[in-house]
Amino acid sequence: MAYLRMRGITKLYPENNVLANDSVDFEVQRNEIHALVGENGAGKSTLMKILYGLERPDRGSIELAGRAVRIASPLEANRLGIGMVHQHFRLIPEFTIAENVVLGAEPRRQGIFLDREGALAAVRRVIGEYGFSIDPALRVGALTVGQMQLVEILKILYRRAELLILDEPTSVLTEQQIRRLFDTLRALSAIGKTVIIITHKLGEVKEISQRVTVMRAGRVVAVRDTASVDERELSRLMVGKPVSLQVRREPQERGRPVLELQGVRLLVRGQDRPLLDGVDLTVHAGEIVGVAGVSGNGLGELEDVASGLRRISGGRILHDGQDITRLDSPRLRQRGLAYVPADRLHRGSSLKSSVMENMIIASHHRFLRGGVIRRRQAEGFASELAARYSIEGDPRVPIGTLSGGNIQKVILARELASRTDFILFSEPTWGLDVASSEFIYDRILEIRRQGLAILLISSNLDEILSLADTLVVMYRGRVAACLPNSGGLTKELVGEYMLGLRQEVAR
Amino acid sequence: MKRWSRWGDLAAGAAGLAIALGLSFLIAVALIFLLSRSPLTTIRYFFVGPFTNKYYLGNMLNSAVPLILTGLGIAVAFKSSVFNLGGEGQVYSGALVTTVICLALPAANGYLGGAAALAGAVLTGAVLAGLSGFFKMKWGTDELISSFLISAAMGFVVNYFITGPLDDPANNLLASYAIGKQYFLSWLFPPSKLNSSAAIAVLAAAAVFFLMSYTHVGYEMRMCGLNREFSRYGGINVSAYVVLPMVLSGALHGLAGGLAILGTQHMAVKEFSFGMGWNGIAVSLIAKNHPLAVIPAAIFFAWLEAGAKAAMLHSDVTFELAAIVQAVIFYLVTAQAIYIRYRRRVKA
Amino acid sequence: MKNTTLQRILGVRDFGVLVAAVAVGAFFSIATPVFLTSYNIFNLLRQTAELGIVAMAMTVLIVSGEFDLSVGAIYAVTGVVSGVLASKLGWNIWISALAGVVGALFLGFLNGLLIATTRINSFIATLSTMMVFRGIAMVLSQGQPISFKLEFFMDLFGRAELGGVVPVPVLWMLGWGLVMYFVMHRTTFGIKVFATGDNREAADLAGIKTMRIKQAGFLITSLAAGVSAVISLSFLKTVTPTQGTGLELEAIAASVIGGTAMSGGVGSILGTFIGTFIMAEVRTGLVLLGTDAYVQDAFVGLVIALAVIINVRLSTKKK
Repeated sequence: MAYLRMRGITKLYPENNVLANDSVDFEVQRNEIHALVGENGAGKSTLMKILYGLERPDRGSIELAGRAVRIASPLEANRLGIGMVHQHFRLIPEFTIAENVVLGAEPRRQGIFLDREGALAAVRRVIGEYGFSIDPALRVGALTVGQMQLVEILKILYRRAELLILDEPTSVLTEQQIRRLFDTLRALSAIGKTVIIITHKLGEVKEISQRVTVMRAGRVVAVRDTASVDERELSRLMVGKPVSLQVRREPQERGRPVLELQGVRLLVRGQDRPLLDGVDLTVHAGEIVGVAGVSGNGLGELEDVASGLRRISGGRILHDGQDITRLDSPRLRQRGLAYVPADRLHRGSSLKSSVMENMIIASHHRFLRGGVIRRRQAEGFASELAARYSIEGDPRVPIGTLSGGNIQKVILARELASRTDFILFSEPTWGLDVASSEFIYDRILEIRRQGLAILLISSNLDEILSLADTLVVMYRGRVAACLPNSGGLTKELVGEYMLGLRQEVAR
Repeated sequence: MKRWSRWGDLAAGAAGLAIALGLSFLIAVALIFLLSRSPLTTIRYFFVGPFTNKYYLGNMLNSAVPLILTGLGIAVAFKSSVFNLGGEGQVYSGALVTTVICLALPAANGYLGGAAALAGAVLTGAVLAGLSGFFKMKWGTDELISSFLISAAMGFVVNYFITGPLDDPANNLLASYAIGKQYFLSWLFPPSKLNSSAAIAVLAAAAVFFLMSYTHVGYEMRMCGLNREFSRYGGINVSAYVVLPMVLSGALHGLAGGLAILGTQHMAVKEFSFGMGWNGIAVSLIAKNHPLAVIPAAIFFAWLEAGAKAAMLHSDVTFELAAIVQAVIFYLVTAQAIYIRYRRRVKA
Repeated sequence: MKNTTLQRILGVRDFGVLVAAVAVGAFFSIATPVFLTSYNIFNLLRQTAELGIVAMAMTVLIVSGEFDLSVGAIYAVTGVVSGVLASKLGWNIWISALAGVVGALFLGFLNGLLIATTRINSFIATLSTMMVFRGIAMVLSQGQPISFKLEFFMDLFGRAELGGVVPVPVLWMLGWGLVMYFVMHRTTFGIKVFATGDNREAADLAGIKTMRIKQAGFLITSLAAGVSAVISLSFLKTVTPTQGTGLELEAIAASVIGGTAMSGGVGSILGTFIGTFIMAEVRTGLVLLGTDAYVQDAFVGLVIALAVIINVRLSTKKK
């Protein structure tokens, strides 16, 4: 009998008009380890948030062990025996393991007194019961990431959870820690717990799960027994059929190398695994290098590093052969490196400022005379750019009132207004309508013809396959593939690289 | 997307402000009825009294002067998204430094010495606030708290100097020696205390307005205040713009203190400047952080105080009435400002 | 850094504060021989009683991530209310004092309500309530001090000395301190306070009602202010509407010296007690050295500034 049955779950996010879950049916058997897979935005996180009481579905029902339930909050979920280990830990570094585990359900003495010894004993009991070995008196702030994850697991076990949800648990773990986690999960399943593991790493799906549900674009596209499906097929199910974009990309000779990343590493304090692990990447003049990957594998970090907003821990970045590793944003701009960020609204623009003020942020020095910004010249500049890029409206209105497409055009106009030889795009058409997207694609191809070096990071595979001359796939912070996009590449193939099924770097 | 209308935005803000002020007035009137035996007389003196003769009017305008300057100081800070809560100490310390310099140069030329004294005040305020800005830049300390605590600490130190080494035993006040006559600023409206510091304050307002709206430093400060991440991405040196607004804010506060000495007080009286810093915050909030609007807002605030004084002299209420009304306004305007920002964030 | 068992029991993060207290005491003992007498020590303790009560309560609030700048004003309001009821209206002193304390609790409740409904930064919010409350004290007292008749109540709360040596306020402070200690370090409420201040998001997710915790903190500080005011009026037999000015500042400083982080999540009652003691040492020592009130204030000011700088390092360690 199914232990968990979610039926017809529908959830719409009105702010950006995204249908995160579209009549989703999801079933998990008791005792099994069930994998839930899908690309970014497939809807798996939303579904689990609904299960854990962090979100409420617009439509649909949930049944647990045959009984219909309404899960209004995480506390209710806990009471029903559902526990969740989040991707980002919610722990109090100052407290000990025992204190963190019992927080919110502390053992008491005489009603108000905290029973510290009791807490320690209770947590020790849980640790022993499940065969772990860790000292509950240790301070959480001093633990490794793998140990912190264990504490999160202890939290749910202490509350007698029967159903455990793990959200991308291996993304922060080293190989060894992953082994240990999987042993733990198997042991839990053996004693009767049910586990749902959200992941995009198909190798791990094969290793640990009994059944797998594949989601895409808010819908469930397949439910399979893990043993009876191979990774290639899973990958195909995840990425779906290719959509042809109306883009005409003519073959073109590429010029000199403009931007080079050599052995770039990014290690962050508190993380055991490097976020970027020796990335080698070269972008030539007149070339579009498309970077694909599932989020959490280093795409965002690559964006931060290639734009100079984050310092790398190792390796070099070269521009025209010169080392620019240590340069900050103003100097990178001076050298002619432009950047259209994925976060349009907070990084790419200042919503409350006018269109004009947004346009001149990097070039306002041009309009200076004796420290004063010449308003009329700046406005003239803005109007001219607006006309050239078909941006509607008066340059004096706050940019926040424009549509997403127009905001992106403003950003693009600004970035291209100065002399540049390199531009980084990250998710350039996310959330845009078709007309604006096509406009952006035309512009990108236009500057490619003019000889700019373009680095395009995107989770939209169709976009990358249409635009890129060279395709790079990031997996676990490394370059898993670097292939010329000469017509032989399919979404399935790229998907396999993205999901860790293949590793190959072409010369 | 709804069509944005600049006037729509302004109207909404003005409406909220009007409600806050209207409510405060109702409270003031209610209090008067509660506390006064002849409430109508009191009300007349409170609201109209300050305009009835040159003395009251001039003094009212004069007490607006420091508020203009501290209001400007807060406006600069708020527009850059930094919080200078140390205004009180910066004003007071600036006043002390001005007094000390004047006393140290008993025979110098009035203009040169006075300018030096004001420069000292400006520098003092700038350093005190700048220290908080520096802490924020270097170590991420909350400048709100550090500026407040440093200012409070300085308050004690200044008290010591005024009542100790600088205390003039000849006057019966807890006050320093008087500064030389050549440093006094000229009277504009005798017999009131209105003096040329008013002109300096208005000039300062114009200068700050010009700075914020037209210069590239002002542009960069405002952009950092609106969206720090965007500014960093756009190539602005964001960490410098944590310190600079604090320095400017402190400088303006220090100037307020110095001008108060040269123009009105002519000696450092213990705690004479209490309230100038806090009311500056209320003034700036009423003016919606716009440098030019600070002038009418400051006059409004000064009017409250002048009205209370008139009511106190001619009727039977105590002076605390003004303090309460000011405090209520401060609270209501603050609440309203935060409420607007809160609602905007929720809508977004 | 693992805490030693002794440290965890005492609730003090490091012995630095203790060492500082001893060092300051040693300095003044050498400077003036009178410092180390039992008379002086108890005098010192009596002066710290009021500050200690408020500071230890303030620690609870700061650990939860909020500040209350209105305690000084609440302290004044309690005094004035008691004074008006007892001296002007002739009520029984016990009832008057109780009314004063109830008034204090009400003001603390208002503070909590303000924070909960408007989500303003508590620093700014209590700054404004401080001004309003101070104004209330002024109006109720008409700006004048109020005196009380001497009666047993005064002895109980302020004037008596146990065994002829230990001033009663000290006993009240120790009692309050003990309660605060148990609340913070031994009850489930206390652990929730630490969690709320250290990582509010995690605390919310764990099911802790963080807003209620903060509101409770405001009630605690206002209660402390009320109790201190009662002790003060018992000892001085007088209340003035301007009393308590600067109390909030000294309370924060004592807390910070004692190791409380201004960003929340870290603090100890014992540490605050020692911090209060240090501030009293400084004051008394300076008095015995023959300096006047304003020099003492200046020194206290410098101590506060120092506390800020120390705390800068403390808070960054956390980030």
